[in-house]
Amino acid sequence: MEYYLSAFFNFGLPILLLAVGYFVGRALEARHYASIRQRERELQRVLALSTRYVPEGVNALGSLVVSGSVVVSSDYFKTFVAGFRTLFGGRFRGYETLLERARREAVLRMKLQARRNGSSLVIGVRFHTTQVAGSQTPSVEVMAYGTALRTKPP
Amino acid sequence: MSEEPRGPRLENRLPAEGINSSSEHPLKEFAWLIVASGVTLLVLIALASWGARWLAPKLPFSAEVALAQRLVDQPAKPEHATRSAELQRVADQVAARMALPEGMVVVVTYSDSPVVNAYATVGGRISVFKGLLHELQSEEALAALLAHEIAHVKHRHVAASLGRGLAVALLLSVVSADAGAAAAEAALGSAASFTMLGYSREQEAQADEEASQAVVALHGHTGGLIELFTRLGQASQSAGPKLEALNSHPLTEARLAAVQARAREQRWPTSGALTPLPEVFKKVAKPG
Repeated sequence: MEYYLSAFFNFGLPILLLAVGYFVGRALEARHYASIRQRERELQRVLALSTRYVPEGVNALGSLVVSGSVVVSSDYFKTFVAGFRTLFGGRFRGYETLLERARREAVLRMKLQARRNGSSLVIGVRFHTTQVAGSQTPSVEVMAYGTALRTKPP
Repeated sequence: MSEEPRGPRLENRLPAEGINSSSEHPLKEFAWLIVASGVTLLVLIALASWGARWLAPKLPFSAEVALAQRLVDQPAKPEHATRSAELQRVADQVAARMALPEGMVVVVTYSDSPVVNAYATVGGRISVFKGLLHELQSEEALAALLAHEIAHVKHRHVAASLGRGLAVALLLSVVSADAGAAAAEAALGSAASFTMLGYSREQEAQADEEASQAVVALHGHTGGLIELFTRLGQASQSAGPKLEALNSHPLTEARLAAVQARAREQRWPTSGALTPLPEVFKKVAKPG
């Protein structure tokens, strides 16, 4: 009994967590991508530019700092694979998709804030990222911020 | 409804897909990493194990003695003093004919355990169990047994085996602290307890060969060694399945055959006068 219990905690539990992390993480990722693509089409008319200056021809009547921030966490599977990546180095695809989703989501939230404030142009867009949790399951905040311009009277 | 800005046309296109992220299946990366890590670990374990087996016997024997004093040695039990002294007497007779290196001494103790076993461990410490002594009839067989164990000490098999165990433990502790600690405990534990240290077949064969020469030098025949293997073979008949492939020790029958073949080759007599085992080792009917 004790043997099976210790075998479960040593091998069974990590494998179970890996499987849960993998399947749940993968399903959530697919759903998130679908949602991101749909909202990107919806918010396509709100422009986000990295330029520091008001583009030529834009009649800016007012401005407002807008930001969108996301906290994403790795899953057990990704973290497990990342542990091996630290041994061998190289491109870690699991975190690439994770962070890409976070950046795109942050831009969407920023654009949403701009649109709610009656703006359809955000300039000077920058990204900022901070690690928010320990190394056990890494989580990062990705924030996009910029200056939303009001181009017509409120 | 929204005014078009004059000047250059401004627009946001939908983000490009598949540049900042990859559509490669995550399990492919996972499988590659697991296999690569596994192969790396196996190669490192093999290297550490081989390296330690080569290096450990090069350490001075005094280092083994120091380790034995901390790990193995226990206060002598007065009730075993006569038996231990008898064992030591026979061991000294054998060791005198085995050309041990300078500074190497063997210390034999009697162990009151019914297990049919005897082992040599670090620092030339040898333990002989009650269970094994009950299987033996003659002093020559006991001498052969001790010669075999002394040969393990002389050829530093103990150091090689312990060194290999500790090197692998050290390596594992880098990967997982728990696994490393468990392996180190097992390696040191096997040095201190009655668990046989794992010797390779080559090491066992070398010890048998050394023991044959020693008993021939001492008694003029290999009768004691043959009795030892015959008795051990009988004792293990009931004990378990005889699967040589699964066992690092060559089966006693195979070892017996090897010793007999060697004796024929060297024209050593395979039988001769046998002295009964000292009285102190005789089986005593347990009260109750």
